[in-house]
Amino acid sequence: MFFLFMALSESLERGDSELLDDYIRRTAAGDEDGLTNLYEKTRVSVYGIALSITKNAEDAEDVTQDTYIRIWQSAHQYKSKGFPLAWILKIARNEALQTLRKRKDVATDPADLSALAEKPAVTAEDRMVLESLFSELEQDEREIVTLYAVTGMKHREIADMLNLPLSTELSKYQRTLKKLGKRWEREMEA
Amino acid sequence: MEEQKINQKIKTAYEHAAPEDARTAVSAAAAEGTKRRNKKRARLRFILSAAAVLAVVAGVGIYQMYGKQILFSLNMAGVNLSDYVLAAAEYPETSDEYSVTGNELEEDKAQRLANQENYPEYYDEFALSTLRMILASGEDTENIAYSPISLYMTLAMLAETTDGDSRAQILEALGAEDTKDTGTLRTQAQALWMGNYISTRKTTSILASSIWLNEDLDFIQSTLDTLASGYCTSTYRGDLASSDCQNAILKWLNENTGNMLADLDDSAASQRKKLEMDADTAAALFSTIYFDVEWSKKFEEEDTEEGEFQTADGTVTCDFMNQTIKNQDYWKAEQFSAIFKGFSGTGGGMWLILPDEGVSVYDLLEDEVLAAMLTDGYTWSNGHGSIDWKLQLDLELEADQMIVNLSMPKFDISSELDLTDTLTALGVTDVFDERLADFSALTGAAAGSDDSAYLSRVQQTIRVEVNEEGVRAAAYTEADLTSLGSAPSQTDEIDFVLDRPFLFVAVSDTGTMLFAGVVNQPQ
Repeated sequence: MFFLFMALSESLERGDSELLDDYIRRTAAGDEDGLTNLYEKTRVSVYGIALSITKNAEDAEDVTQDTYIRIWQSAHQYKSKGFPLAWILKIARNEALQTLRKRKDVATDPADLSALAEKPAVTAEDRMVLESLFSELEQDEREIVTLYAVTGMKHREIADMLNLPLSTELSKYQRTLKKLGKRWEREMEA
Repeated sequence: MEEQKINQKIKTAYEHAAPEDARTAVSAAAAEGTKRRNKKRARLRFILSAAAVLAVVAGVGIYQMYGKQILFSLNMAGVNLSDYVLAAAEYPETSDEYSVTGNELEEDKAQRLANQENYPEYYDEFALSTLRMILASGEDTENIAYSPISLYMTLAMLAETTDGDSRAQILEALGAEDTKDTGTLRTQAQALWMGNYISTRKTTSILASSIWLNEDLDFIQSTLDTLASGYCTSTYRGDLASSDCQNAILKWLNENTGNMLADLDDSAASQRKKLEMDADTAAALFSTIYFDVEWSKKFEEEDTEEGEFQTADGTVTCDFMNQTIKNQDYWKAEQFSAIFKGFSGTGGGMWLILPDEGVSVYDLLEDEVLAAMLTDGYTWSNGHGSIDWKLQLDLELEADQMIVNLSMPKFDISSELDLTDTLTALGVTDVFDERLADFSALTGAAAGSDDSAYLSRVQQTIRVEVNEEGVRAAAYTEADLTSLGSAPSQTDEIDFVLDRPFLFVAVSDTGTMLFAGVVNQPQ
């Protein structure tokens, strides 16, 4: 079987750290083009984290916007340690967690992906994939698999970000793959 | 379904769902950010820049008897702390070793150790999880050190100055979410503080705190009184933007850290600049630990020789201290070996942990056997540690008393840690958010109001220096790690050579983890 790989606007590779550092520095200097470049390079990662935490497509878009506002405000505080993406995603995560905290009955809120209906690029398979992330997985499992699939972060980096022992992160990741694999195979047989 | 396919489907789904319009998003971000900056300027004078600079110094095994009198070399002529003081914390009186009997010293020690029953149960977990997180964040080409007790005390004080979600998040980060009120937290923090406060001829272990208030602002006196009585926090007030007041702060920091953090080549102006305080600063909170002890078995200087240390970048030459220790507990697990080298005058000591060949320090930080050894390897009572033999049965961990030929490098390492990320990873987020931060217990202003305040940064500065010492008899009973169970072999001998990156964890005589670090570069 062949593997169709769709490369959209910008995808993150591990060697992008220096590029992101440069974009953040330019943003700190008030360069909107710097922020634009940063947005194009990281929007999917930021949105991914936002959606995986808020479980609401509309809120996730707000959180994405708020994240870049926060980056614009605090880029001057950023000190390069070789992990610019981790810095960006921590901001995104905090914004998403704050949004979550302001909602009531969060634990029982089902996922609301209705805002995706307005996006022509989202296919039926995409919807199935995203819905399964919410129906099959716990929040930390969803965050782990989102970070790994979308951002290119290593397991140790993900464990650090989520404050989990590495062994715990790895075992949750493996468990998540099994759950999703089973669910999707059932969907395809139906 | 194969892993790669699953990950690709997830990535594609998010790519299709994510918002695309960069122009709109960026313009909105820039406009909103500018709007917030303008709003921020309007209430700048009420912003709290509680820069909790944790100056942690451990001069372990450094000084000869008279060398312990540290000379302050910064020129602080004319700086008088009494010009700024609102309330000075009172430190416990301890006996002067020169003028009292051994019994009186033992009584002091017993009184100090009696506080242990009120220690927070969650401290070990807090210390271990933050230690693992922070040390693992370092680079393998650099050294890093961190003090959990100093961060704990700062967070406990921050809990007193906050309310609502801000306070709840801090309590949860400490592991104290079940603490019903800050009164209990205060009792626990005080017990931890008092239990680890030692100021004698041989041993110095002093936690100190101060809060410096902008003279133009009002603060809630009862909170300041709580900080003074519960956390031994002195309160000062002045023009925080002025050189004079900043010099006073530097003097306070230096006096409480034995001057070990002052860069002697740095001008006073440059040191003031590092405080990052200006007219916008409402208050600053400082927490320090100064730790200076001697080894119970000191190294002989004549046995120190040059040797090779394997760093991530290659081999470097440095001084190795050498000694043979009889009756030394030697610990062995699947991925590491370790010894606990005792301090003089107190039953505490330092874990020296060597990963096996092919195992990195960072792998070790995830090792659950190491974690168990650090928290439960010894049970502590009356200032002495006894090996918990049951732990060894439960885990793949062995401890034997052996003749250990120890060879370790001298080192002097420094770290300047920005703990903001660590705290946000622990869920402490609101205090950094100008919209959500609730410092009403300190300022009286509600979160998000014009008079409200937020935390701009939390930083820990630490220096750890380890070397051999001159000959000196101990005034206290020597550190005595007794073992239970069958008589161990006295003839087994082993070389323990720390010639590659290793971990150290300093522990008090109550088993409290005080500070820890990774040595990647001894020089």
